[in-house]
Amino acid sequence: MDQLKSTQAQLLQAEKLSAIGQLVAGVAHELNNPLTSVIGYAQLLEEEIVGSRPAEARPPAELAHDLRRIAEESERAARIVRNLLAFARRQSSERVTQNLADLFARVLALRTYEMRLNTIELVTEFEPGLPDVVADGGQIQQALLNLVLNAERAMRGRAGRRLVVGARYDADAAAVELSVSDSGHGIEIGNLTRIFDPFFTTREVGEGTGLGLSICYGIVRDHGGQIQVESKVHVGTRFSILLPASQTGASAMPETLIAHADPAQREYLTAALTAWGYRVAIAANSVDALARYSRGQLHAILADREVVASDLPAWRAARTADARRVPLVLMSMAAVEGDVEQFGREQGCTVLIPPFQLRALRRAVPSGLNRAPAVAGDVVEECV
Amino acid sequence: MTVQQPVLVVIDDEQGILDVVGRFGRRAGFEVFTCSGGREGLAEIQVRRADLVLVDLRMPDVGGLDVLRALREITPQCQAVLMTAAQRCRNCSA
Repeated sequence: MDQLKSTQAQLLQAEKLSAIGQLVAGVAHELNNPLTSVIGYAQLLEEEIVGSRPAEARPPAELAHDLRRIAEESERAARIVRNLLAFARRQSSERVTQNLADLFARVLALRTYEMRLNTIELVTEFEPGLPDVVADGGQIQQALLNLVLNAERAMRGRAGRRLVVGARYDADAAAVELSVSDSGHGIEIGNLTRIFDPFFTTREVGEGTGLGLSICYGIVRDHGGQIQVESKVHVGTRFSILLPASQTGASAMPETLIAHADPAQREYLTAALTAWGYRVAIAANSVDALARYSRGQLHAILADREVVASDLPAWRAARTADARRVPLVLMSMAAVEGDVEQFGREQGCTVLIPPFQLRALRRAVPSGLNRAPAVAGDVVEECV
Repeated sequence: MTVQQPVLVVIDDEQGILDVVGRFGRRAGFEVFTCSGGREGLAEIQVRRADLVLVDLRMPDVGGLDVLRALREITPQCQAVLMTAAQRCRNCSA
């Protein structure tokens, strides 16, 4: 597992270097403009002050104007370098509270100049007062930059280039949604289901690694979020990223037990619930799950049907012994109808049908201190 | 006798560069006209008989190469300098 994590980290860094490579050419050009002005103003002033052109001596106020321009253009150059370095530096993968609108604005600052030169109309729709999200800022910036670069590329050579970026709060999913919409060539329907696959690319050899979107997907899932795409050929594409936002009071509740045999699913559920602020306990099998259940003090249980199916009598016994009726959310495929599903109905479980959307998970997990799920016995089946 | 100054047209979307290059041009004895974009530059070279045009390669509205192509039609004898921060320029044979 450590080796897998290390390989993932290396891929992440490789893709980041690839993005930096794409950025550098534009940034170098952008940087040369203020530098040219600085050099020019300095040479003009030097000639005047040294006195090679005394006939052109200007009043101090005019000289001060040129000096101010040098200071302004130097600050502009410094800002461009700062922006690039902030993105490029190898950051610790620490999860801290982030203002996603600020994060997004910093990504756009890296591309605004190029977009202006390429006549791309940039429209920002950032909702004010967005809740903070606990995230790895460097990774989220990397994912956003990737989407923005893809959008710019998709609009190459097309008329009416327009990039709309947004940040808003999705109350149903208790998440901040970041979106990137372009007026590019769109994605063929046959490719839409494959675009998050590693090494899938429609570009020419050497034009891209084919890892960009799969890495975006990985970053977002790692944060307990969700990435989606809608596209129409010749009209454009919209990507949206949902990242769970901290919920007031969630951290004060007892632990929520996640019982799933699949490590990837466990990690995703843990990431989402943790991002909302819940404290979680994890079990990979029925024995461990029931052991934790028997110790009490749980807010809710999210259990995969296979975990429950492996020892259904023990789960029946545990429920009978549970006088507090801890809400139980059963993750079960809709097509399957067996003893576990019967048990779920008897217990008034909320049923969550994979693959589920973030808002379905939000709805399934009890949020309030009363610990009641959305509707007991509810079937939450918003499939992606 | 009045000596006619040679005419320099500077076209760049960067205000600082426009200002600096324009002032160097005046010091060098040119009558200087500045344009803050390719479209404005195209209009200027239609009405102004320029002796020298300094034009930025990359501008948001009309690029420097398009300005140069138009210049070759309008005033073939005019000298032109393409200004760019890019290291290489493809299709720069205008």
